Amino acid sequence: MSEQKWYYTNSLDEACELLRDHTVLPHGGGTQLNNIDLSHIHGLLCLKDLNLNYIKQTSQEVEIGSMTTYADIVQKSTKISTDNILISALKNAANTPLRNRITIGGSLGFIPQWSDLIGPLLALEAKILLIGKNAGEYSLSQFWRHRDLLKSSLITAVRFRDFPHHAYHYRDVKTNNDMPLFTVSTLFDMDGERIKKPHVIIAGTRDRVSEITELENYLAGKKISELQESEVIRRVKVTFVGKRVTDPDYLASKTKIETWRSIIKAAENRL
Amino acid sequence: MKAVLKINGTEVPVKFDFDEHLLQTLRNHGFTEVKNGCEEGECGACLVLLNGKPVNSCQVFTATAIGDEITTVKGIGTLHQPHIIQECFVEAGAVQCGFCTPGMVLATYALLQDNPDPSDDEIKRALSGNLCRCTGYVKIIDAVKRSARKMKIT
Repeated sequence: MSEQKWYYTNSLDEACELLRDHTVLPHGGGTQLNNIDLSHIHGLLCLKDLNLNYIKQTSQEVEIGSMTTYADIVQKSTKISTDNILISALKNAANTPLRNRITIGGSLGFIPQWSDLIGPLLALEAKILLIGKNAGEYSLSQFWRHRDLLKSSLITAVRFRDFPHHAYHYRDVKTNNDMPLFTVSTLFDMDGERIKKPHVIIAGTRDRVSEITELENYLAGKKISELQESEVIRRVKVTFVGKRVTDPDYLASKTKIETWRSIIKAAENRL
Repeated sequence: MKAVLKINGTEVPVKFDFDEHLLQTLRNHGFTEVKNGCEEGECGACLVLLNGKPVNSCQVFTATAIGDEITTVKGIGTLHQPHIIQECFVEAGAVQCGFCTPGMVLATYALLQDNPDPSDDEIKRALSGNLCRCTGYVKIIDAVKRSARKMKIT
């Protein structure tokens, strides 16, 4: 194998050209690359000079450049409502120095098991912008199902509508600083007293991320006072793989209870 | 690989491997005030400031730090000319074995640059990436508050 190299560019076209070689990986903040074997790759492409660290408002949406760190999203953004579910999730993700390194693009490229990002973005019906071989705008759920879209392509930005919503992001942790064993992201709008467009996303499951559509269908159109705990719990059907620190059946049971609590807390939170 | 890194305001020529982290490069070139703890980004012993922001140097590939301003604890104060924060850590009894102290001091420095009058919660959040196995944090939080007060006066 030839000598491994770092590539630096300030041109998106050149970055795409370099990524046509599948053995060149993009480097965002680098925190996930630390966890993988790099011995088989030819090189790493440093993305820091591509001007992808930005947050801007388009007509109805917020667009976040893929090199924007969690810390910048939480601290520096005046473009996103401070109570947006994404902000409330990311301000507790990882720890301060890691939040200064983890980029939104890197997280979406890898979607680690413990991600605090994917649930809120799915709940916000976010879209992903790619350049390269599969250039275009994709819904995050579509991107999630077709991860090969990322081959020879680069995530440049994420877009979502920043609108007033009821939401709650639950992280299951032993201490604040822990990586969550699972997260529950609940978001809905209200039409008068009735729940409208509910999203319930659980991350950390066997499938990494599960949208609880059966529960969403149950919630849609109901008043909060009409919701029954047993009916909510019955519809949360997720499984977990065995984790070092706890039992998968326990996690599945706990998820049901925390989902019910999250819905009630979301109803109380007008964001 | 060879490059010139800007460390504590000085340009330092360094040699490093393709997948080497800044922690190792700094220590290999004499900056042993940057401590090697967990190498997983959890403990904060290796914390440095990169363009003023606290990061775990064990999580930063050296090749990506070219052109950035790197600050170790010796960049803000030395044994003979300590920074107010370093003095306050000693005064508050927030130092025992001292292994976590460089990271704690830098995390405090970064916090107080942005927020000169932090609340307890803001201090805890800012220091969330720094673990101490000796003092139990009460004195460390005390040291941060003491630093904030003294820095405002000066």
